[in-house]
Amino acid sequence: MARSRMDLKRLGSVGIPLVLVLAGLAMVIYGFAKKEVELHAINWGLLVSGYTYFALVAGGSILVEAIHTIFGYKGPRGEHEKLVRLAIWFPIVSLLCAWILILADLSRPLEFWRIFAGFNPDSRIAWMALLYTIYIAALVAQLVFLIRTSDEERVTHKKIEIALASAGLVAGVLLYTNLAQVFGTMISVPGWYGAYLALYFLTYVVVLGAAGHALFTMTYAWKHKELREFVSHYCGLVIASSVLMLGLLTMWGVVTAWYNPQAWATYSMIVEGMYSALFWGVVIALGIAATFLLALYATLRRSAVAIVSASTLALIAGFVNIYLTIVVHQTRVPEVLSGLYRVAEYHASTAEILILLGTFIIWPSLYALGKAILPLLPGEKPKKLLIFK
Amino acid sequence: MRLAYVWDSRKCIACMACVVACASANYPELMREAKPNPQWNWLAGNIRVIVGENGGKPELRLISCQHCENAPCVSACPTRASYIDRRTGLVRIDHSKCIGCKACLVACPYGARWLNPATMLPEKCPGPFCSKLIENGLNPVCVEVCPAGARYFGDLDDPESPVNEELRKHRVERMLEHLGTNPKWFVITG
Repeated sequence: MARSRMDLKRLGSVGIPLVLVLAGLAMVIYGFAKKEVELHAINWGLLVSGYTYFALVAGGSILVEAIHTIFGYKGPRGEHEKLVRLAIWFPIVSLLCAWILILADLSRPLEFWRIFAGFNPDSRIAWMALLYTIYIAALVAQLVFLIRTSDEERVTHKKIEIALASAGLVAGVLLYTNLAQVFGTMISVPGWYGAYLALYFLTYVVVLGAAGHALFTMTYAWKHKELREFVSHYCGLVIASSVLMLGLLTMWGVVTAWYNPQAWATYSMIVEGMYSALFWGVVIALGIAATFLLALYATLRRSAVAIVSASTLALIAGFVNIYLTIVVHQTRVPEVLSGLYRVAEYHASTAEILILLGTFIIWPSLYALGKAILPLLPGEKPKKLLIFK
Repeated sequence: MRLAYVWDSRKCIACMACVVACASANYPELMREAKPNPQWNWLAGNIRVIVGENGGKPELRLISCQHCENAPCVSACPTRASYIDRRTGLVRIDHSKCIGCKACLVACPYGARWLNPATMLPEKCPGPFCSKLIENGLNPVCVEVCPAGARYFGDLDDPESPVNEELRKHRVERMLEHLGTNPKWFVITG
């Protein structure tokens, strides 16, 4: 009886996430089939915003993880070490979600291989594809290594682990500065154009990565007091310190745009126009101020509720800010005649919303599926097909 | 060879014959179905019209691909589907290589590209019909149909070409030249 209940529980832990992943994929495919060109629309909308969001979330969690693998920090009682496999699975899942969205945004996703076949070194997007490949390969190799090696073997093969983690970290930093350049080098969009965007994206990477890592890891750590307190303290520290920098850079972008009339044409819509409630209310008040206070509280009091709240706020406000940054700056671009602007309107289509929702369903479901079939939790070992439980 | 366009803003009577001819000749299927150029909500052609003001008078500009020698769309394209044709110097699109990432549409500071609603791939000047005309040594349709003779097309490397003749005679400007795109589309202003 007890055994059959165990089997049923295991079946549910695999079956439910699997069904949700498939449902999410179905929504993505259906949405893609319904995609149409909108009148007076911008070129990069909700899907590119979603893609950038997931890509940034994935980047930060690898930085969180690298503190253990490269710099050897294990936590006061080895808590960080216990969570390291979960910490690597999370960016893999987030990157897959980023890929789903960027492929869905392409008109011909099945021709994607042409980026490698006709690689244009001048194109930031071409470099994105290459760096993503290196990045995800490094992550998967690192995860397989950690799954396949015992604690004793890890000590003797430490150099391999450091090499894999370093490859992932270097590819990650290059990837996210390059991602910023995809937007920052566009002379046609003054609201994006500028070197500060690279630093801005890298800071966002840390905030969103730590927030995502904290939130998703809590699905396991919540039941274990020492892990729960460690995640609260550690991720709270990372978020509290980086979100202050994020606030500074956000306002830096606003101040810089103030002196550039063409950039201000769109920044003014964000700061004092139709998007100001989202900017001041969600991005600044919730995403920076409230997130900082909650993360600080989580660090000082090792409060799990505070870190979950801070992470949730950071992730929601992060999405809103990335959406504003990508979408709004494309809605007023300068014309060839001085003082004139090409005006575009953007309302996400039903197809785009469906694709994004599908991806947001896939994200936690795939994470849960990984937890159910891969030995990611402390003490778990591979028993089937080299890497499965 | 470096093919270039010249447009005489003083001669243009804003009749839009070039706009209609471009759409009808290059995208007849979209014209038949009354499908617009979605980016500009305009005829499905490669010429866009903007009107500003200069000293209280309306100022017209016809915008199409500027065939930049330092083209942002070519740099942005990850697959080399957008490229500069070495034989003609024109910026072209190889649609067989295009994945539809829309980076070229975002990158173009002139807003000279649009997304074909039928194929979801970018379009620009010269369209398919004009490309054939140019390959056969003829002028694109916009030049041929202009009733005011305000448009010229020719080789910048040929001193005898009509474009060089006009450039020698008049004061010209290139749009958004300060961006360093080095466009090969000249506007005669005086």
